[in-house]
Amino acid sequence: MDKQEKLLDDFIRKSVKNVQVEKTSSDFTATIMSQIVATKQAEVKKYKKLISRPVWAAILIIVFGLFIYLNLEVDSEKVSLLSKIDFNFIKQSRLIKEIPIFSISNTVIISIAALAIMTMIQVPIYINYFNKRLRM
Amino acid sequence: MNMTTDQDYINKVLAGDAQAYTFLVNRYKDMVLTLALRMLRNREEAEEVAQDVFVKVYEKLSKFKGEAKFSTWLYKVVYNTCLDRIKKIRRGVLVVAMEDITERQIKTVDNALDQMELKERNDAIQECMLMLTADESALLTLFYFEELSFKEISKITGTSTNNLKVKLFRSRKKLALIMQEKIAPEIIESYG
Repeated sequence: MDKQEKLLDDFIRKSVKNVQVEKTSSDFTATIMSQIVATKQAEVKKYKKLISRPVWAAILIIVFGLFIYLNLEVDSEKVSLLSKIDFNFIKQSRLIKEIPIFSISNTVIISIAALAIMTMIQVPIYINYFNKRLRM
Repeated sequence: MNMTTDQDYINKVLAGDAQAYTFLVNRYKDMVLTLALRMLRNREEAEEVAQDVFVKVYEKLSKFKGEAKFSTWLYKVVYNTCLDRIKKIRRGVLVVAMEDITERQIKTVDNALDQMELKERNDAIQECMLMLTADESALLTLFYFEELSFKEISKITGTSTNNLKVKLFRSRKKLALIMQEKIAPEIIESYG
C-alpha cells in the first residue's frame, strides 16, 4: 500500500468508525416470518423432477433400441412385423381424402427445427444461470 | 463462534423448525438493510428488498452447502438483488471528476469533520456515501462496516481480488473527493 492509499484508508476508516448501521422497522422480522409461514402453508409438496434420470435413461435406451432394431430388420431379408401391416388403409381412409393436400416448405421446417434447437439450448443455460446466482 | 451458531440454526430450519430462522434474521437484518440502502438510496425500497432477500434465502436454504459463511451468501443475494433493481430503475449517478487528492486536502476534511457534532458528522458521511455508485457504496460498506476480507467481498461481488483492490482504492478516493466538496466548504462557511 503506497502512502496516499494508506492515508486515504486511515481517513475513511476514521470517518466511518462511529457511523451506525441502519436499523430496520420494529415489525421487520415478524413480517418476514409471516411471509415464510404463508409460503410454507402454500407449499403442497417438495419440488420433484417430472421425469427422473433413470426414466430418461430407460426412454433413451428404448428409442435407440427400437431405431437399431428397425434398421436391422429393413436391411435383412427377414419379414419384419412392420412389413406385415398393410398401411394402405390410411390412404384409403375417407377422412384423409377430405383433407386438402398441402406441403410445408423447407424454410418453415428448418425454421421450426432451429427454434426447437435454440429453445433446447436456452433452457439449461437459464436453469444454470438462476442456480448460479444462489449458489455458494 | 458465529459460523457454528449460524450452521446450527440452519440445520434446525432444515429439520423443519421455521422459527429458528428468526435468529438469523435478527442477527443480519441491520447489515442487510444498510447494504441495500447504500445501493438503492431509498429506505422503503431497501426495506422491501431486505425482506424479499430473507424470504428468498429461506426458500433456498437447502442449497447452502456451508462452504462459505452464511453471511457471505446472504450479502451476495442482497448485492445481486439490488443490482437487478438498479438495472430496472437506472438512477442517475453523481459524476465526480477523479482528480488527485492531496494530503493537505484530506487533513482539511478530517479537521472539518472533527469540528462537527457526532450526529451531524454521521449524517454528513452517510449523505456523501449515497452519492457514490451502488457498486462503490456496497464495496465500502462491506469493507469498512462489516469488515469483510477481500476474499469474502470477492465471493459476494464476483470480482477478482486484484480488481477489487483497484475498485476499493477508487471508491475511497471518490468518497474523499465528495466529502471535500460537500463537507469542507460548509464548515469553512459556518465558522467563516
